[in-house]
Amino acid sequence: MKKTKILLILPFLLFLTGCWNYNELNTLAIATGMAIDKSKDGYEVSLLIANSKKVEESSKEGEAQTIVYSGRGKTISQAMKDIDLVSSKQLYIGHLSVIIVSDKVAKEGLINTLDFLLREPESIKRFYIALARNDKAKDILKILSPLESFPSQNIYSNIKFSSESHAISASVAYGIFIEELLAKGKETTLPSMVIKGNEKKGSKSSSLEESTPKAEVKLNTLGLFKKDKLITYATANESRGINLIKSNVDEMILSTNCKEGTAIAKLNDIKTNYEVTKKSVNINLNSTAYIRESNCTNDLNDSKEITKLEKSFEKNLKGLVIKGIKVAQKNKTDIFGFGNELYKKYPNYFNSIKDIWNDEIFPKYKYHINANIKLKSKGSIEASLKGALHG
Amino acid sequence: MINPDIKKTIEYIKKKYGPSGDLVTRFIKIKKQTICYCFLESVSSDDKISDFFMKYIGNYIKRQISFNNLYESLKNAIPNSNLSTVNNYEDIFYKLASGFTCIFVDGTSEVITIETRSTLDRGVTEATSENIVRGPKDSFTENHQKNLGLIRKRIKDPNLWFKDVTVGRRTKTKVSVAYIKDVSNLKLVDNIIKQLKKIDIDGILDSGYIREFLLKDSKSVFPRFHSTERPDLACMSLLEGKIVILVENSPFVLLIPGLFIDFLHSPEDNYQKAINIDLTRIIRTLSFFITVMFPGIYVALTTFNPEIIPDELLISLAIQRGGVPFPTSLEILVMIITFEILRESDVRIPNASGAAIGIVGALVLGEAAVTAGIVSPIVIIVIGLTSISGLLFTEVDFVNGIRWWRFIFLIASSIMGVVGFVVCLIIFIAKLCSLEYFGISYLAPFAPYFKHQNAILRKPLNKIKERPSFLSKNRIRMRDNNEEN
Repeated sequence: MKKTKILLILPFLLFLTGCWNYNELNTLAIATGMAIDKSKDGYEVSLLIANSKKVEESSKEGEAQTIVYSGRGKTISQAMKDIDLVSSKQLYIGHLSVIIVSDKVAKEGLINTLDFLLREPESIKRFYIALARNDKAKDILKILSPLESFPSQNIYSNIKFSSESHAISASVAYGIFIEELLAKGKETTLPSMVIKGNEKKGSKSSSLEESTPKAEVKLNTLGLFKKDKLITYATANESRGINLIKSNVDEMILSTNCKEGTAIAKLNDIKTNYEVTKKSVNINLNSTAYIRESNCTNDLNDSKEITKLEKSFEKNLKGLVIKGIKVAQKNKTDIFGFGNELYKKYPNYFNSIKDIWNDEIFPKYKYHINANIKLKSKGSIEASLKGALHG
Repeated sequence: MINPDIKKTIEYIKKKYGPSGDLVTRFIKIKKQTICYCFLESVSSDDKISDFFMKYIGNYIKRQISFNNLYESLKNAIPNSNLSTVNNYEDIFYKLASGFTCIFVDGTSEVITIETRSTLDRGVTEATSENIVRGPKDSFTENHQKNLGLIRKRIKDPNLWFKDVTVGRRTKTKVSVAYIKDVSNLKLVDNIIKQLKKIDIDGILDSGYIREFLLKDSKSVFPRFHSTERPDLACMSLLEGKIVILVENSPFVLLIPGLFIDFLHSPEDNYQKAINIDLTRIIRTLSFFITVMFPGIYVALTTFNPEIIPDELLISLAIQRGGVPFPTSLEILVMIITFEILRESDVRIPNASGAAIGIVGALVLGEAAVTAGIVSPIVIIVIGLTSISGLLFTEVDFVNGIRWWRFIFLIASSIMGVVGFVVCLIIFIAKLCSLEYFGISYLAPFAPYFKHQNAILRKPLNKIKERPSFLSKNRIRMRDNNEEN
């Protein structure tokens, strides 16, 4: 009898699940992208909602395909509450994949925006963080891409894959950003994004019907931070140098001048290691490379010519690294973490200089750079076409 | 005892059978003595009686055979291979019902019985519930002698013993316990026979009856005895040291002890290459976990911990669920019950109308339920995978046991999410571990661990030299030929 009673009760338990952390998927508004802009009295937070009905049904011509909700508030969570008033579903940020911060916010200091996302237990801390250079961060979230279903996915994979191969940008996960921000003797950098084209037209699905989209989101150079404040943006070559030192580069394209033209090499497995002393830093760069394009008349079968080319590439690589260090020194921010290495090596020494490290010591810090490139392959053909034509 | 006056005796037998019309009796006069034969025509073969008895008796009537004592003469000379004498009514009734013909001789209190059984079974046919691709195709039938024969012809060692026990006050069903004397655990055999003898029930109609009597604690939903209709599997089990119980009129024999691992095996496993079977076994093990836990995992993840699901999958799940009015757990429950109804009806329905089930099941309940927005398409996939994985196991009791735990996992997951699921998993494993039969753990050889070369992964047969130690003390299965050479 007791058993039957229990058996009768069990099915009812199925439907009495209103407790702890329970949510049906269709009651959630899954936010995959977040943008933080400046507003009059605080922040404007925008969320890209991925599971809108519009995504399911093909939207009508001229209508936006995605939904971006915005809310204003003094703090991030107040702005989020503001969005809650608009959204009929519960906001869910567990699957956030990118967060874009406008550079106006970054220039004033990011610190007030960071706590919320780190504290929220729902959020995973692996999403990428990037700056919106020139444009409103909200607009970047709206730009549709013909290759991905959601703008946020487009931005996410753009950051992930192109930063590995272009060396201009870098992928910075939220957790790592916070870690760098808090580390002793280390400043941080963030990649930036710009909109190329007309953002109003680019956010409409009609933009996707043409072979060249009306607007695209493009990765841009690194923004240099001092503490939580954005100071300046590096140029493309400076960004390359910075990324090389920070070991953020897997492969990159390097060009050099040669007889009557330009040679391009693709660098693979670039290994950077550096050793700090109290006065200077030794940076060693090792890499293998293969020739990707050669428009010169040099005889590539000659090993002396190859050594010459290697030397020439090494010089250019060195030049990039020097540019990277120079821009950091000029802006008095140790984005490479030399100070952090110094702290690990000589903790007492570093503690005594930590207040003046960025402003006085780092700008005058000496550096020696060794670059070593091995050309391993010439691709499918041996000599260059130009050489064959003229020779 | 039997009255030597056969008229009175026959009267008594007739009275016993009452109005039943299948009792045939006939008095014959030989010289001055009267004999009488009787049989039940429903279970006896008229041809056999005419050929082997009547023709022979004719010689007596024609006085071609001389004799001093009619009874002794008949007993010695009737041309029947299975002739015996009985001297009480109980045996007479048993013999009559078994298709024997009883011959009463006036003035003697002993009765001659000769075998004149008619074959009331369908013969040895192909196994229907345990299909295999490669291997022997025959299966047990309802005929007890044939069943014993199917085993005996495979294992020719005289150490293969059958111990018979008659169970059932009214059915008098013959139950044979088969074992190999120097391989099986004899204590277990004695124990089983003792328990069989204790059974006092009016009737035993299938080996399924026996199963419930042999287990004192049958609280677990998982079957504790493996049953099969394949003689090759029965012999395989005998050779491993297991005990086989054959029940008259039942094509399913019981293999004792039935361990958890047995239900993941198929006799075909031994007929194919070991390395190929390994993959099949892994898939079977995987599908056991899928069929028990998949609905639970789905509910736990989607309603409590969506963080774990990859972005794009989650978004697509969320979009699919848009507009479904019921909670996920109810959705799943409805679909599980629907499938169970389909399965049950598919078993019961006459073959002729079987196609209708497919149409109703696939189109109406699957497609239409999604279109109508009652369930989301992913739930159909979840239930589909769960159900198909469940169909991998041939033992009906095992599949039904799985069904219980599927519900329990579903309920636990929908109340407590992943935490509930894990708690349920712990209880599930603890429950399985706590089962044992005569000292053999249900989860052997995993818990407790025994070296077993044929558990999930199977070694090539020429490498398996020993029997599993938890089944038999006589462990040598294969001798090394190298030593002799």
